[in-house]
Amino acid sequence: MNVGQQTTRRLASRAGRSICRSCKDTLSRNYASAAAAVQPEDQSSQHIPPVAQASPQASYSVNAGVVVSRPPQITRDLHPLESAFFLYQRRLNERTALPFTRYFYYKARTPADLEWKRKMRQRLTPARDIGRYKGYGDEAWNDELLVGAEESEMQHQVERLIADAEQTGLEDSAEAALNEAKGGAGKKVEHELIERPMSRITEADEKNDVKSLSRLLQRTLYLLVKNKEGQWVFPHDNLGKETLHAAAGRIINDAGGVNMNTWVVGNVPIGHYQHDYLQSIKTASGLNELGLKTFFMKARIMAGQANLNDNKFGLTDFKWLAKEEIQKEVRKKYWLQVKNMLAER
Amino acid sequence: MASVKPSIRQLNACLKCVRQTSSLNGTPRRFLSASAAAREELQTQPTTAPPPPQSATKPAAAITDEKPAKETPEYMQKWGELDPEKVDWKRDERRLVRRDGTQPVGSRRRRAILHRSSANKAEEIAFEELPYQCFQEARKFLMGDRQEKLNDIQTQSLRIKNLMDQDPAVSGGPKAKETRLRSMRDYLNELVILADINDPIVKKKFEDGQGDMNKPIYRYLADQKWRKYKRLVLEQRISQFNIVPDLLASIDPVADVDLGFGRKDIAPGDYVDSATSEQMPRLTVQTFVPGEKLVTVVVVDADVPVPEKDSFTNRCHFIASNIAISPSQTSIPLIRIGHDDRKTEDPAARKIALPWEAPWAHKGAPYHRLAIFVLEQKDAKALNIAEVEKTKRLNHNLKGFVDKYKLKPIGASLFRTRWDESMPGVMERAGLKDQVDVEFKRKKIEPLPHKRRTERMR
Repeated sequence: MNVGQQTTRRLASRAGRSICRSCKDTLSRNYASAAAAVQPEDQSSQHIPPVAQASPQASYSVNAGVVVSRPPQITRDLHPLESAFFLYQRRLNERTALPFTRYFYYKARTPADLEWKRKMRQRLTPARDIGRYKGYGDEAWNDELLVGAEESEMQHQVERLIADAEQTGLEDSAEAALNEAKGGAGKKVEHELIERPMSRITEADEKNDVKSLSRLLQRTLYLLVKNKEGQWVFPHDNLGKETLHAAAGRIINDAGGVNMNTWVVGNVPIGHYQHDYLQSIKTASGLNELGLKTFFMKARIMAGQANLNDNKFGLTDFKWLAKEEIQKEVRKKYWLQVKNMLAER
Repeated sequence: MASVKPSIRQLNACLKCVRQTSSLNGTPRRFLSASAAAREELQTQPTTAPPPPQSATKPAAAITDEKPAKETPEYMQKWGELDPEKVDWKRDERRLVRRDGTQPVGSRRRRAILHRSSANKAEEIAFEELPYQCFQEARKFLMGDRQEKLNDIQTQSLRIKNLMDQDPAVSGGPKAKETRLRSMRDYLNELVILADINDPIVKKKFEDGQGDMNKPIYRYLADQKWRKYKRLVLEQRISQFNIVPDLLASIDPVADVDLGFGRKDIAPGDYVDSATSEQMPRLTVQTFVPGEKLVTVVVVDADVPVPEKDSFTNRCHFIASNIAISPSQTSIPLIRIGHDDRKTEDPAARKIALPWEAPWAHKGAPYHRLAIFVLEQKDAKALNIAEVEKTKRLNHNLKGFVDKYKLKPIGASLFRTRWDESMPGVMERAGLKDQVDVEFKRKKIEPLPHKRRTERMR
């Protein structure tokens, strides 16, 4: 043992009460032998006698809740300023970027090249969905849309892309008219059918079916249930001898049935709700209960649907609602405590 | 090596009382004999660009430029009327510049709209109503934001009103109430700025120089612009030329001071010809806080040589007091103030305490720094001119002057003067004929014995 350690040991043993507890702990951790010498004295001096509990302790009963949510399925609609600005940028790009290198993509005098030329003649620009606009020449600066033009709307752009894929550019030409006049004698060319994108507004939206999970595709939907008292709440139950995470999984099964593919995200609650009783209740274990606290776990639904047929909590109804719809259904006091854990979109 | 360390500074004597043998910032003491051309290293950049070299083609171009003004060639007359508000073709723009010598106004988009609407006999479209989709959507967005800010302003002023009506005992004592009120007013002022700062019209007006300085938004924009360039330059000049701490202990410029003689603008630190500076300068002082102020203008020469002591002293060239300025009233026309003073009978109503003495320098002496200070008078109270008149010119102590009259420096500018061709005339007219022939020369320093050139070395 070198000199430094001896000094420390001497200090530690001599110091007695003049060294604080935490410093002594540190010393004893570093120098186990020194600590062993000091320990008995330490224990006797630091001993705190247990205090007998006189009155029953006040407490809250602990509940576990679960916020089952369906994330947004599609991107949000653009703000009118955003769509106008994006189109402005695209036209600006059309005008400042290098010209389209046609012969890199189309071999000269092939049918594809001819079709490209026909379409270019019609829309004047290589981009298919920014409307009829010429990026070069004296008038190129005049690339801004006027108020009320529909070129900036997403639906219009989608339609233009589909139309471009479906048409050959020959539709309203003189040649086509001549063929028509002959009675369709020319060969009818069959094209592959172009698949249209699904509508952003679903059948459930039109019917306002709050039980459906295919409603409000742009928003997060949350599972809300109607309990025995007829109040709309998030599913919850008393917390037994289990973790919050395990309790959340159990509650989902007990409330909504097994026909839901869910995933409880994380071990930490995302929020809590506190309810104070008007009068405190004496429990069987001799505790004085002031109220209840519900800790909410976050869960996602991947597939399936809720089914309340044999739920264990006496729930009578369920709904899948977006944030602002929840506000209308739940009590105000409940809303104020849960609103900040729900996503804005 | 710093000549004055804090430890040996005499602490029982006031710092300002000790006439400094060296400046505070550690620069060694200046000797008249030691100051020479070496100091010329510190030059301000010339503000006016040197005239472009005269090329052979330029006179010819100038002639063709001037000619159309008198008689337009026939082919140019065929171009017809070109309205700078409405040309929207590149070719027409080119022709407008070539024939009429005027630039088209605004963006080509705007001109195109004006042209088309006038061709259709439609009414003229205001800038805000240009029918472009992106522009209008953006305006809608900004208007929404502005409306939000206006609502905030209303709420905040209501809150301030409520707090003012509240009993100080409830709000935690009068001091706490005052602090809270101040921070609430600060926030209100911030909201007032934020409500307007994104308005394209405000931006356009400010950039065109049509902003109304009585409105907070234009004052804010002007302040920001000043702080981004002009104030930085001024600060640099003040510190490089040691105006601080030679003349004042410190200065925090909060007003934009523009200096000029006649029609010529002077950047801070420029050399000014002695004939030019014989007349009083004209000052433009732009303040950025609302309200009228009374200011005193002082011009001090910081480099008057004292050969007996091998040193320098200060000389006051000008003092004018009780001049009113405000954000919208920026000009200080000293020449006109001088005329008015001569007309008034009442000596107390005069404004110029010490009349202008033309800056002058001896031949061979180093340049003189002439600093101009704009000092705000306390509580906008007028000074007693008769008392200010007693201020001595030579060995002027600006720090003492500022302390005595409780002034606060809000702006500064400076220029330099040195011996030039017109100096003898200027000095003669100023009644300094005896000084004209005085010339400072370098003292010849005897070489050390071992450096002495001897016969043997030749």
